[in-house]
Amino acid sequence: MTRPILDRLHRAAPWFCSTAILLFVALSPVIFVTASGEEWLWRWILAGVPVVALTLWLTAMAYDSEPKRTPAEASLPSGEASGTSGEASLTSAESASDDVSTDASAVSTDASAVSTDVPDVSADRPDVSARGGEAGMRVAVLSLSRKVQASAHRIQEESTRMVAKFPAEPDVLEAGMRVDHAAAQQARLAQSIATLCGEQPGQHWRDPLPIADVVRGAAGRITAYRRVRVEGDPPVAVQGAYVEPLIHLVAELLANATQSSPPATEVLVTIRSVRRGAALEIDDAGVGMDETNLAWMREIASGTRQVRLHDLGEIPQTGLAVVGTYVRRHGFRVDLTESVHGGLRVAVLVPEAMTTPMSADLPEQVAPPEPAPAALPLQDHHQPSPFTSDGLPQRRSKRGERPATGQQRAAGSQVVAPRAEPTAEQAGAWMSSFLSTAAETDPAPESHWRRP
Amino acid sequence: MLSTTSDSHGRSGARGDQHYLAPTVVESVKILVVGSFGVGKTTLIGSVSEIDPLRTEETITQASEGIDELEATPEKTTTTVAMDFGRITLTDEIVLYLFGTPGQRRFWDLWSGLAEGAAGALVLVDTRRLADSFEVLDQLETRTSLPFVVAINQFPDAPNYEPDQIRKALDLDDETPIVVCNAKNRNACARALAALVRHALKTR
Amino acid sequence: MPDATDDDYVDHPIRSYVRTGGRVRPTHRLTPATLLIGHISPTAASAGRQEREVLSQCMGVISMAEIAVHLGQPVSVLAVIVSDMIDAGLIGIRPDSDTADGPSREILQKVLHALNHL
Repeated sequence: MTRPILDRLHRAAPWFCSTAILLFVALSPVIFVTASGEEWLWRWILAGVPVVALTLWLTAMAYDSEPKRTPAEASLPSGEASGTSGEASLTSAESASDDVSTDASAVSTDASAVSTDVPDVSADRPDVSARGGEAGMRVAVLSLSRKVQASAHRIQEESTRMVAKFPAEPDVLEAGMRVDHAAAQQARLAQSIATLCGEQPGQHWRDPLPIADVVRGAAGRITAYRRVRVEGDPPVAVQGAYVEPLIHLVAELLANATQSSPPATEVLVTIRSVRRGAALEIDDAGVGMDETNLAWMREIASGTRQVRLHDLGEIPQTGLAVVGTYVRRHGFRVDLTESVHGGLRVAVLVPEAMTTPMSADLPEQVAPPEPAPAALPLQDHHQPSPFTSDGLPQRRSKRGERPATGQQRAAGSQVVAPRAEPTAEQAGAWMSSFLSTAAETDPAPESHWRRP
Repeated sequence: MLSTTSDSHGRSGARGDQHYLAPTVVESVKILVVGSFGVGKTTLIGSVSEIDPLRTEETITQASEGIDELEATPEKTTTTVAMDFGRITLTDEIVLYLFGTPGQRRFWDLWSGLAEGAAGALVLVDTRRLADSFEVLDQLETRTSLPFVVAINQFPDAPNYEPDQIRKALDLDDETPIVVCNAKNRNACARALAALVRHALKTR
Repeated sequence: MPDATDDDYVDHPIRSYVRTGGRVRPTHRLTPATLLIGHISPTAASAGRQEREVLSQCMGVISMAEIAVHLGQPVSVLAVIVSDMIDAGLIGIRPDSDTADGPSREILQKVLHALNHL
């Protein structure tokens, strides 16, 4: 309701400011003349020209209803960019785009912002179309990132199939792993873009995942996954809805940690169960960073300072921005400190409300068994058979269709994979049924199985 | 240290690798027992195995009982979704392993590996649902070179067919033996296995 | 949905290269029919989560193939993991007497004789 007034103030501010500067320019000869005799003209020009140029530029800026937030601007000590505050998980994706910036005036008073900002192409467009353009761009970027992510997952699927198709070939397994790994990183980047556009992750997991497996899942999405060492495996699982956000969040932190430390060093992830949930500590062996940068990164990672896609600039650093986005959205807690190991330590708290305890002896909590086993659709693959004169269904033999290479493959590491893997639920159900079967049959008398 | 099924049977022996077998055993022979869903693989292996068959089963719940496949075997409330595994120590030196392998497509890729080194395959069929066994036979013919024998698991309420009628329906060649066996009967199962081994000897 | 079609693909948050640390060659010859047996309890503190998952399937004699199906992993990936576990003494392997050619005539005759007298 106060929005129109604010808007008007907001737009008037640069004009006021410009007028003030022009006044300053006009009055300055008087000031300078009193200072020193003949040099006043030069001084006037030297001081006046930049000021006038600045004024003109700001005037142009005033037309732009959606001032861009650059990292430089975000780093202003005035901190208005973080006006929505750390607890602002209320900031929904939808409201993000019409979250009219309240700090154009801050920009106009700070000359340092000017030097780093990029001229805005939409500067001379009317308000409405500029805003529509931004929203349209966001939708387009989002849609494209979704497509990229989907195709990356498709590549992962195809590589898995390929591996299953050549089960006894370690070379194929290796190639499949490389492809899978590359695609996993591509999917992560695409998901980062979508996340920074304010969207939910494109991947979903239904079942709770042990916290240690979340870290392993995250490691699989970074280049240097081999450098990640996981310590600790408390019996805590993350609820399905939070699994993907947390995997992605941890993956970005691991990516940061591995990139900012020497290639030969490990990144150590320590997992503990704490009273308020599960705690992760990610330590790298990098050189750390100075106070200013640390404070700046801390604000982004902790969600205190929001960074969106259009804030990223020419060399986009999506990692911490993604972390901050998830923190704001879900309420994870993230903090950066200097590591006792010399590099950085990132602490992540997964609140208890997002976790679920696991029983100690079963590796995984699984959903109840799906009722129908896979055997049932067998018939579907057969057309209704013709019948023999005896009324029996008639089969046509496939003798002779056997490939010559068949079974006579030389014995090596003969490893055969089920091409189609059962779902986690199935596997879990079998696992538990296997365990219970074993428990039941163990003490059973042998005569149960012996027939006279 | 070990808590395994064999402990409960008092089968001792050395620790580790040989834990479940007498130290004198030097040869293992593997036979696949294959067949469609609910045809009696678990029963057959249970009938002849000296150990409680290791198996993975999943109880079919109420929700799926209306499905056609189950109607033919209304009394059966569980079905094998993975593998059964049984053992017969035949002599001091030889142990026979029976692998009950499901016919579902999902498990086909396991076949080639399992078939490797196997003496042969016993194909269990139920004459009331003969078509169910087609895919299993297709698999044996196209993906393995195993000698196999078709064993008709004779259910009490199933109509009686002559072996030739079955041979014709299954389009088997004349050499492939067909035996009738009650999977619940240990001796009958042993005879079926013997028929398979005899057939395997002929094909060598 | 469990489904028996060939298009049955299930994504898993933990990729296979993470499970094996990028290694693809098992140090032991492990076939789907290779029989394994756990040497320690699945709850043993000395085993990691991944090892415990495998051990929970090896409380009795069990084949590689079964474990792979239960855990939803390709046998080729499991072979690398199990190889490490064998080397670490967590799992025992039954000496693999099955060869690609199957049993000899002589053995088969003994089998037949024994079956006939069972």
